Formats: sequence, structure tokens, C-alpha cells
Amino acid sequence: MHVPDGILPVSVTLSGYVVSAGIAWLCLHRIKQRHDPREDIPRAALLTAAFFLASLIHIPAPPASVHLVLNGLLGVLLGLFAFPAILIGLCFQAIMFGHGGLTTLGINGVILGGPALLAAFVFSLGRRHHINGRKTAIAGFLAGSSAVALSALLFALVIVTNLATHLRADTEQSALLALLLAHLPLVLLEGAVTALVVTFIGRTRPHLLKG
Amino acid sequence: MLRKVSGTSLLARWDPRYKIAALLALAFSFSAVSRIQTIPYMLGLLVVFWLLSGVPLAILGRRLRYPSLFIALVILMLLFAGRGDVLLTVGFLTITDSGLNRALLVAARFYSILILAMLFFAGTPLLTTIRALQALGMPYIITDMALLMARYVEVLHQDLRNLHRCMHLRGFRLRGWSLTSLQGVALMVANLLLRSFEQSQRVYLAMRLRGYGQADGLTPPLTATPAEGLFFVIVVGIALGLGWLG
Repeated sequence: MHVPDGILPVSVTLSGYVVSAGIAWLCLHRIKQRHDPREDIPRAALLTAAFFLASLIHIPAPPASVHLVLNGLLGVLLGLFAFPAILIGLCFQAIMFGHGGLTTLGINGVILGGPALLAAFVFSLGRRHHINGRKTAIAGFLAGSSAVALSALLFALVIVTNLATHLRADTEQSALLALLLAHLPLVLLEGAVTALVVTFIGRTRPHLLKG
Repeated sequence: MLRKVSGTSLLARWDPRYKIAALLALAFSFSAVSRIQTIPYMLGLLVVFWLLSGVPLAILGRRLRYPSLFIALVILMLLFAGRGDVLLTVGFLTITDSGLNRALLVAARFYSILILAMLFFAGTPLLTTIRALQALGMPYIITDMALLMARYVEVLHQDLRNLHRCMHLRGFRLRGWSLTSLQGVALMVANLLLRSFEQSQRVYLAMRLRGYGQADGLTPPLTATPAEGLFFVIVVGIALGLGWLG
């Protein structure tokens, strides 16, 4: 779900940087208003490293395999730190593996980071009144699946709208449909894994679910 | 893999702040290329930077394998499903002039930016790159997170390998999308997250004891020579020229 370099026009990639910088600034501004903003940095950094590694786990889905995105879970656990954490992860992936891109860092940040913040909001809404295992699992499923679903939708829109003028109309529609259908199992999978993880963390370290 | 590249080449020794700014300028100018006629200039520049970097071709080739998987589908789609006049028909596949043009542009831009980034980061330690970002004005929350992440990702990777080995020894096998498989994956992810959280608390206390958050008087500031500044101006000028050519 990473847009590579070379596909999008400069106007779109630059807009991606502007929007991404704006969201990151807002998140950092809110973080700096905390009593000791440095206190949460090691927790956010090490959890980001753990997410970076967890996203490398491949789950067999014959004939291929899928890897977890986990942006919803990241949002649930890191809250406002999720957006900068995703930007850092994307930067590492671009530098270390050539996955994603340098010019598309901003747009990829919006595609994956925006839904992570939404997941944090969805999860906090789901657990507002009662905190129990079932509600945590449902809120976790909704947060995990909605984040990936929104990311897939944004990714498909960015790719297809920017390639549409160069493709035949029938191919354009098929490509959009195929991209969305291909991500449907991932939406369910992410929701299930997020629900299981937050249920486990809710039982063992509930304070971690504050975001 | 690029860690194996020597840090003595001209490009590796260039001030990392100039290097990052120049890389971004060149990457955006490459992505602005919209005419086939400009591709040779872009490739020529790439050859110049490759010579300045001293990166062996074999290493570049190996690094290109994985990212190529992502772009191949887009290139094929543009090539065989593009609009325009038909140039060639092979069975049920047709290649159009506009499709071929677009596929060539996307491929050239993608590989040029990817290779350029590899050449620029080869021989430069990640920590130096992060320090350069800090010197360029990146907020401390982001650079501190990046530094800690770079420091601990290897430690946590070892933890993940140990977790996987333990689960494997207890008979866990990742097969398809069964509930047992998903539970196993979720347990592994949750355990990794809990371990990283516990470690982060110890790391934070250790960092506070060493004066984290106070003025840093130990790390020497990055310095650049006038020649490095001049080289930066030249590279940015070339990037602007390439962007103007389009």
C-alpha cells in the first residue's frame, strides 16, 4: 500500500508533503503541550520499531502471502505519536529497502498515517463508557479494519485517478475494482489481529491502551 | 547491504545536510520529467553520481530486485492497457504509442530516483543521516524517535526471532487463515509490543540519568567546506535545469 516514486505528478507529491507536514505539525504541537513531552518518546520509538518488524511478518494467503500493515493498531497504542511514527517508518523503508519512495513520502504518510489517527479516535469512542474484554475486542476490530480500509481506498484513489488519463476506461474501472477487492481480505485480517492484540494487551497491560 | 560500501567516495564524504537537500531537489526534478527526450539527461546524471559514489554495480542490481516487483505491474498495465494509436499487436495484447511512452517515463523516473537514493545514502551511516535531518530543522521529537528506533530495531528483531523460534518449538506453524494461526500471529505481535514497552521504560530511565533533554555538549556540530557548498549549488542548479526541460 505504498505509492512508489515516478508514478505521480509533482503537484500531487508536493501536495502530499504539504498535507503530511501540516498533520505532523498539529500532532507535534499537541504532544509538546504535555507536561513532559520527552517522557513518551522512548515508548513511541520502541513501539514504532516493534511495528516496523511486525509488519514484516508474512501470513500465507495462497497463491501469495500478505504482510500486516498495522496502522490501526499503531494508532490505538500511540495516539498522536502514530503519525510521526508512520513517517519515520516510511522513511526507513524507503532508505533501507527501496519500498515506497522519497518523493511520495508525504502522500504515503497521508495514506497510512491519516487512517491511524482515525483508528485512535474510533477505538477511544468504542471504549468510552465501559471497558471490558468484548467491547475492547470490537473496538479493536473496528479500529484495525477501518484504518486499513481507508488506507486501501485512499491508495486506490491516488493510483487510479493519476493513471486514469493514460488507461482505457474499461481497464481503469477493472483496476480500481481489483485493487479494492484485493485489499478486502486484508481489512478483515487486520481487524481480527488488532482485536486479538488489544484484547491481550487489555488483559495484561491495560494502561497501554490509553493511546 | 549498502553498509558494505566504502565511506571514502566523494559522495559519501559530502556533508550529509547538503546531500539530503540535493537528493530531494534531484528526486523531485526527476519526477517532473515528462518528455522522453529528457530521459538521456537524467540517465547521464545518474552515471555521474554512480561514478562519484563508488557503489559496485552488483550491489545496486541486488538492491533493485525487491522494489522492482512493485513497479512491474504498473508498467505492464500502462504498456498493454494504454490509450492511443496501436503500435504492435501480439495475440490479445496491444501496445499503443501513448502507453509505451508513459511506461518508459514511469520506469525511467522510478529507477532513476531509486538508484539515486541508494547512491546518496551508500556509505553514510543512518545515524549521521538522522543528525543531518536534525541540523536541517527537523523537530526533536521526530529525530529522537528515529535515533532510538535505529538503535533498537536490531535488538527487537532478535526478540522477534526468539519468539518465533519458541513458538515453532512448541509446535506452532503459520498455515493459512485459521483462527489458531491468527491467534499465534497476534500473540507474537502483542508479546513483541509488550517487550518493547518494558524495554522503553528502562531506556527512558537510563537516558534521563545521562542527561537526556539537557543541552548536548558532546556531539560535535556538522561542518562543511566552501567546496561542498559550491557543489551543492551546482547540483541544485542542474536539478532546476532538468525540471525546466521537463
